[in-house]
Amino acid sequence: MGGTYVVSLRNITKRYGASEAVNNINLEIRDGQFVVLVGTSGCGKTTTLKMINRLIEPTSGQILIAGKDIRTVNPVELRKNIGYVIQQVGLFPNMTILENVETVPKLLKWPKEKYRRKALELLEMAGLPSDVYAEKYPSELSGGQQQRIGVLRALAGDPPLVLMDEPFGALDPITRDSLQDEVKKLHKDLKKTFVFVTHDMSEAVKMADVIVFMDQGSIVQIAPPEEILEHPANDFVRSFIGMHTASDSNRLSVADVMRANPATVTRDRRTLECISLMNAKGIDSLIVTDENGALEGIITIEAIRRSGKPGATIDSLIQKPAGTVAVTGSAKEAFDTLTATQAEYLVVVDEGNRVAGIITRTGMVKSMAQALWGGDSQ
Amino acid sequence: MSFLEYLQTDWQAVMNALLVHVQMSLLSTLFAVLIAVPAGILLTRHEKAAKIVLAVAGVVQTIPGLVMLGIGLLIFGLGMLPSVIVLIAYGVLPILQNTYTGIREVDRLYTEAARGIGMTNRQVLTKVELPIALPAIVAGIRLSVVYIISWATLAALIGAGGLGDLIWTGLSCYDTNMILAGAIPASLLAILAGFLIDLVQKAVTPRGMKTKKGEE
Amino acid sequence: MSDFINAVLEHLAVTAAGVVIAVLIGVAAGIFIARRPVFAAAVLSVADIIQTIPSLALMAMLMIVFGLGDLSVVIGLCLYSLLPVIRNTYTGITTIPPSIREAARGMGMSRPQSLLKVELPLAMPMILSGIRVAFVTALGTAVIGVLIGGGGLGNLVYRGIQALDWGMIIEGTVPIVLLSLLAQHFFNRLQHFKRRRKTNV
Repeated sequence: MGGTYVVSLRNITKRYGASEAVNNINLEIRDGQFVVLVGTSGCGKTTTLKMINRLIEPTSGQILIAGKDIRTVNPVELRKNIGYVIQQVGLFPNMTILENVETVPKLLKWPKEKYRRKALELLEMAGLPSDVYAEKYPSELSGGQQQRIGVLRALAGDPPLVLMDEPFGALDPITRDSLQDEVKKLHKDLKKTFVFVTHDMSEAVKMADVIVFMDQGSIVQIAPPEEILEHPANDFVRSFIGMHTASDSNRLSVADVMRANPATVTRDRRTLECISLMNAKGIDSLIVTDENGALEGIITIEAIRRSGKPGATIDSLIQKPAGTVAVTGSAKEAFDTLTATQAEYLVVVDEGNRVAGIITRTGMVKSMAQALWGGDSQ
Repeated sequence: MSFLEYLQTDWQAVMNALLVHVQMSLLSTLFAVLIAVPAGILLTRHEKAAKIVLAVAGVVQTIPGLVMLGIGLLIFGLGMLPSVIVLIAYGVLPILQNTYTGIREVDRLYTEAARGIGMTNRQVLTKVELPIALPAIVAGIRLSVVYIISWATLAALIGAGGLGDLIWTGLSCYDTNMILAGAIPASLLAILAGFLIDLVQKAVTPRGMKTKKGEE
Repeated sequence: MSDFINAVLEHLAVTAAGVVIAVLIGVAAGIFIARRPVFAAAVLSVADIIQTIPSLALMAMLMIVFGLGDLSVVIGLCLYSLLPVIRNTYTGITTIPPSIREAARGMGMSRPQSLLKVELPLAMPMILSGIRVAFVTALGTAVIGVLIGGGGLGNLVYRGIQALDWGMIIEGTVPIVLLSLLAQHFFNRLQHFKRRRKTNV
């Protein structure tokens, strides 16, 4: 597709009532670039993306695509020529895989032969043989396969520009990894312009030609990945990189290796509920906290089975956890405690004794391997 | 004489009644669908109106069929036309409710994805919302068809004819054969219609979307 | 006036009788097919077919067997109420997460205990919803009872139609509508109450 296809955002602001989601953004995207907008949730990256295909209209400012102000283009026409991939995929459940992929070319009124051929081509290219997959329905595919189709659907109309909004956020790390590779390859082969939104810094570093780092509605830094890693513009960028990428094994902290948001219950919950919750999550114990999230103990499925009464609360069954560790501690400290206590897991607490996470044996091993040999974040 | 003998001699009357009944039911259903489905779609675009309309519909549905027919009689007089009007008016309600609910329950994810890839509002409706809501709409139509056939039997009381006529005359004269001559075909008709629409519902549910039969 | 009140009471009595019997039979049947799903399709189909039969036809046929009067009407209402009750009981029980049943069994509850203490309470909102639908529908259907010699408000409606008298028709209808709305309200509150007490997992 070559040429001078460019996306320009000039003084773009988006206000919702009194608050500003996007604050005076200026950005120039060159033809064929892979641009990643990265930042914490609420920084305005998704809002910015959605202004490019006019799903959201800016409060002020101008967006040009290929030199044309997009306000002069019919939004429906605009979107037919921009690929759009979202996190929850959104494949139409009433259509087969083939019909889903063919949607945009049909909207563009391509002749049947052309769109049929293109769709089959894309399926083959993605390693999904059409004789197996064409007539299947989205509900019959796994999450990863669905998102693959989602990407194909976005490419089927041969758009010069593709927007992706945290497309791999809902997938497991292994699938995410392979899909990232596939998209990178597609970018190299098809030479289209990609604008990609994510909150995962290592994903940004892996995928981008240029990273646009955003915070609270403004652009903090625009630079290629290596430059951002070596010369972060400020402390916030620096800490973001630290939190979301594998860090030096010497400086590995408990926060780096723990799993946040473990399953917790309060002591007034009943035995049956707890069993059900544990079964649903595939675990054999729950952490008990008070209303403020402070640690009170743990409850195991063994204890309930042994002495629990149906309909009663778990109050009388709470045990002390085998081990705890402070969130500010080092990973080495946690490792030592794990081996010393022979516990299955340690509860991580902060200064107020509130539960911050857990460290499991397997989780520990994974984090150490990653720190030693690299790889994507857990 | 026995029922079978009765059928042999008076089958013409039964066939005529059946024909009238089918005509009434078919006509009413057709118009009910033509009115209710677009109305239901319209309601999904106007939240506030929808709440009021559906609340009123809920109350109206508690009015027994016989009463509605009586009201039809008082307003429009005797005959088939008043009956058909009442049948249509009543038959619209379940279809309206199901169309509205069916479309509203289409996950916003799909309509947003559809809009994001460049469909116009009308295309979103025809390519995504309606196909996904179709099984629910057909379920509503099934309800209406069964109700309509049932009320059509009552409509005999206001002069519409049909199988209800046979039942009613049979009741007045204590003629068991006549009652059966009306009741059995009416029952079979309703069961057959329900069965056919179930087939239609299976046919319009894409394989990827088979859902369980839910609560009422 | 007392005639009117009698009519209302009779109407309620006939409806309640039919629905209560249907609940007793229906809940039992629903539990049965939830336990033995192989019968589910057949039982639900039969109940569905019964409900599809036009009310006048069913009532008339019942009259032939059971004679004129309220008995036939009650049986008819009972038959009509079976489907919603059976289906909702069945669905209510079968959609309980299996982990809860497993937990109950794991704790040493017998089948009947599990049913009584765990499964029925959890299925209750849905069962109540089915009873509500049955009751409201039966209130309307009971009107036809007058045609086979039953009593109730149908009498007023029918005479009103014959005499082309709006007043009578309305007199017969308003109580039915009010009772239906009351019943819906009552059952909704009951369902809501039950739902809030259901443990959240």
